[in-house]
Amino acid sequence: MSKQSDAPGPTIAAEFAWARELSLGGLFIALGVVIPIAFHAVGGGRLGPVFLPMYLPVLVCGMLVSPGTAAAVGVLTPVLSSALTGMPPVLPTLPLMVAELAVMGAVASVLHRRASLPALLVTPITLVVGRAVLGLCVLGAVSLLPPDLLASLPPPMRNPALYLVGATVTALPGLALQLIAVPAVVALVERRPRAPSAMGD
Amino acid sequence: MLAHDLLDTWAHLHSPVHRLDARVKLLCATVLVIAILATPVARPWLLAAWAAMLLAIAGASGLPARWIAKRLAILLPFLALGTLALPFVPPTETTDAWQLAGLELSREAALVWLSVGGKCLLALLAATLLTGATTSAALLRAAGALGVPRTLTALTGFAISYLAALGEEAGRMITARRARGRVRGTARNLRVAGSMIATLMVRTVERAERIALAMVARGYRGRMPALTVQRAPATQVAGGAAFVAAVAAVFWLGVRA
Repeated sequence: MSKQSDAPGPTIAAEFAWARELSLGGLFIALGVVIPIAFHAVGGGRLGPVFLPMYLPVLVCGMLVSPGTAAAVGVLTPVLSSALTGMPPVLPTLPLMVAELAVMGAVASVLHRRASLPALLVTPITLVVGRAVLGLCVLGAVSLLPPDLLASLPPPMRNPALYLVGATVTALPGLALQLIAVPAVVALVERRPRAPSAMGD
Repeated sequence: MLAHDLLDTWAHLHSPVHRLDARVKLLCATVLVIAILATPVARPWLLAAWAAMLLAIAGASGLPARWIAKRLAILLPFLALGTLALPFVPPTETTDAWQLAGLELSREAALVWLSVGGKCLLALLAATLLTGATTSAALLRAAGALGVPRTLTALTGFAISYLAALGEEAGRMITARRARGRVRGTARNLRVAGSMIATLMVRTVERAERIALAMVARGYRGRMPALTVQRAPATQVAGGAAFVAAVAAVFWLGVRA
């Protein structure tokens, strides 16, 4: 028998953990498409920037999976939603949301799963980090884009500070919703009796 | 809310576009979307060239115009909102003003809006044609073959598979809430909506754990089984390269003109 076949492979527990990561990540991406559709069905395209419905599943998922998977969920959710439903629009919102949600997912995962901080504390920190990333992305776009492309940014975005303040004020109801809903959902998930796993627990 | 065959409704037609290798289509669509997004504001006619190119592909694909229009209509509220805001952007100089039906519009704002709206619409049209003429499974295999990390393709595969199931679950919850009678007051409505979303998320976690158990029970060993991927036919690769060259040439000519 070769040396390679003697090497211990992943345990069933590790396989289950990875399968759980993938299925949780995939299903929460699907939720990140479904929940905004419901919001848009009620209020057209206006309710999205106000209630930030896509942030909810990404933040909750971030606290349930590893940082890498959480970042992938943050990247894929807006991209898939944009390809399937046209929301968020590819310009200028999609690149900003991809960066913001990827960082927010990874930060939520690191703080909650690695540093074991409570969801009640992780949520506001993550939201502040997300807004900072949004501001940095707009600043980066304004500083780095060639003039021809810079002109295609909507006028409010050409002043990053003004854009960030405007986006944050508009999203205040949504930020409040995340502060209440995310810790509540994470607590509900973590307190419920676990499904019997393949490890026999 | 979402049909089970949302992505694959028309993916089994037999048009020239459908017969193309998924990797060639994905690569061509990516290049075209990048070209669309990189189009300068001052070159609106270049957007018209991309639109003509996409309309020709749409015609060749045989996808129903009504289905394409329905997919594009989702952008209408966003486009309408931006258009309605235009009269409220004051012109910066006298030369910047445009008179239209008695309204004074900022020429710069109108051009920017035309560019942003046009780019969003054309990028969505490109994505619609790509997903309409290719099965989602073939697209994921193509993405994997083109070097997209396996985790990303696996996550996307899960998301697409369960999109309709979760949409239906959300739809059932909305129907059940309606059946229990109308809730009056914004605060009560928000509380009901919040608890519905929370319930949906908890059920999603439980479903994900059941799926993970089923995967392990059926022999999942940390990697998705990969099917043998055939090489793309040389003529299709050459056709794809010609398309990419044509897009690059149109972009270069358009930007330099």
